Amino acid sequence: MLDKLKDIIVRYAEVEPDEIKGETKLVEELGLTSFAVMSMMGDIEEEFGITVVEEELADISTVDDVIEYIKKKQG
Amino acid sequence: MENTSIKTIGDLLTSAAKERPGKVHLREKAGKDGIAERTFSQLRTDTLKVASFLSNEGERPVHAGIISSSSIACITAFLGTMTGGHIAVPIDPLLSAEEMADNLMRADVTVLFYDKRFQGKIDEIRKLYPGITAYVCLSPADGVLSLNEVLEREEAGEQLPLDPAQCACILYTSGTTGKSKGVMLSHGNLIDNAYCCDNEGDEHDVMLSVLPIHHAYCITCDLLLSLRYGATLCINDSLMRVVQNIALFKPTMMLFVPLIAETIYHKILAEKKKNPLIPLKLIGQKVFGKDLRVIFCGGAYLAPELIRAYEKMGIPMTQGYGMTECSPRISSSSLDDPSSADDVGRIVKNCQVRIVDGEIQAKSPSVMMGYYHNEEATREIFTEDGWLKTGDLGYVKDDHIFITGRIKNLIILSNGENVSPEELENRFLGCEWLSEVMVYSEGEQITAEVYPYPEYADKAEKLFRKKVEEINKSVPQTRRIVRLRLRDRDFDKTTSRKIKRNQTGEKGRLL
Repeated sequence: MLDKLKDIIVRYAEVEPDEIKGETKLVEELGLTSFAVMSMMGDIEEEFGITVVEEELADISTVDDVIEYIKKKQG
Repeated sequence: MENTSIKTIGDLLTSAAKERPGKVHLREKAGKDGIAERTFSQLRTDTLKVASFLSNEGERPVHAGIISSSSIACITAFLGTMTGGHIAVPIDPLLSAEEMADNLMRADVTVLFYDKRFQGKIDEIRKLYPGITAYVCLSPADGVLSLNEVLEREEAGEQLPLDPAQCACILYTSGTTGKSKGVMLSHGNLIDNAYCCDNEGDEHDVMLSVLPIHHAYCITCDLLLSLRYGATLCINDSLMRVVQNIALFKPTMMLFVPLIAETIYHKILAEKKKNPLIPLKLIGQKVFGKDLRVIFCGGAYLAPELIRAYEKMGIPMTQGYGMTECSPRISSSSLDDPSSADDVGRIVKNCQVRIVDGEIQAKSPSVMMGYYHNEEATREIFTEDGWLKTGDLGYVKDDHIFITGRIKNLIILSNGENVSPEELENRFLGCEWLSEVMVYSEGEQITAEVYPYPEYADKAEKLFRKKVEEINKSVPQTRRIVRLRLRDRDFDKTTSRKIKRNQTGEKGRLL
């Protein structure tokens, strides 16, 4: 899952996949804007077959948070 | 073509419904795979019903707040309010409940249309601001009056005559100091700006609206232009799904802010890196479809390189300049009259621009009535001879505007949002450890830099982080402080002891 997620993240951040770790912060370290985070979550919806609820994104700040969210939505 | 007959929002809706009654105007996703639609005629009828409803809720003009992301229901409420001679007050749904309640109270709102996605905030608003006497949910909800019920029970009355000079809406905009201000736009302001350029589109166009309905740019250049030209306006349901919705709705025209243009382009470049043999233009076409013929970009600075990048993909990009106080367009480029690398387009029709001490000043029928219940701020933004001071520095050449800088202390993010540094700085008031604070942007990121009192030096970092965490909980995500800098000396000051916004010397340590 992390590799697929990294593939998506690099569409929006100026990093190489191996620079991305679980504890990496999306905004503060990867420099993602709020729109980039939203677009990324839209891609994640399609890739992992989940429905993302915008209001649930407020607590997501790291890559690990995204993974936890995907797992929660996959049930 | 000169507009001589459309003077108000009512005229615009009536005319659009008369010319193309059966044509689909609005489209949005409904359920998992469905699409909901409203024709120009259906929308007209619905707006007249909303107008009737509001007329029973109080003496005209009723001030009706709207807290919702863009939707057919939201647009119906918004246009219905204005066409009934009432005043629409669309509120940013990403604000905290406290800010929303404050904005609603200051705008004297008594009726509130809302999206039930924001039910939690609405429940808070009920407690914070008891002045709202009627709540209308924009989708069916148990035990609450819904817009559907309003549309079922109300009769669509006749369009009442409206005065173009009367207030149609109040839009909040961040100012340079303290609280946001309510910009009063009249029917005449909005219509003038909707007709200030020509040949932007026609009835064959399909637009996809991705910007929020509480922004002047979206109101005028998505909604009112679609009515003017008879174009179909599709509604993006979430910023998560812009690219997916482009594939679904196949727009011919779109309105972007630079942030959206940059982010999507970055995504295209990433795809190109993965597939170097595929031409960039083809990847661009895969994302934007074959029908997209132009992107209008505004709301913030647009880098010329981005315009060129899109042109290389076969997608012309035009840009404009303006402010909410101008409904919003002051200048705009077009396909027939593209910008050069540095200008932000030709001054629009009926607008006069002059430069005084380097500052761009404008006079136009699009210029606002004033700030609601804020005579002092209204006086400050106009010159004595009635010109609007934009706070931007620039010059005019061959009727095109060139921006060279900014006087006003405002962070303008590339998503078009204005962030008042002083508003965020004020949130630090009362911190006993803090001597001085300055908020500014570094690229797209909002930075707070502090100078603590020396006796708090060893605890300052912890206290600073805690305070920022507290502040960030009460502001929308786009306005959060992301970078924290800690100084070991005070800020450079002016002769009157104010912190200079342009500091020389090294910045504080990045935490």
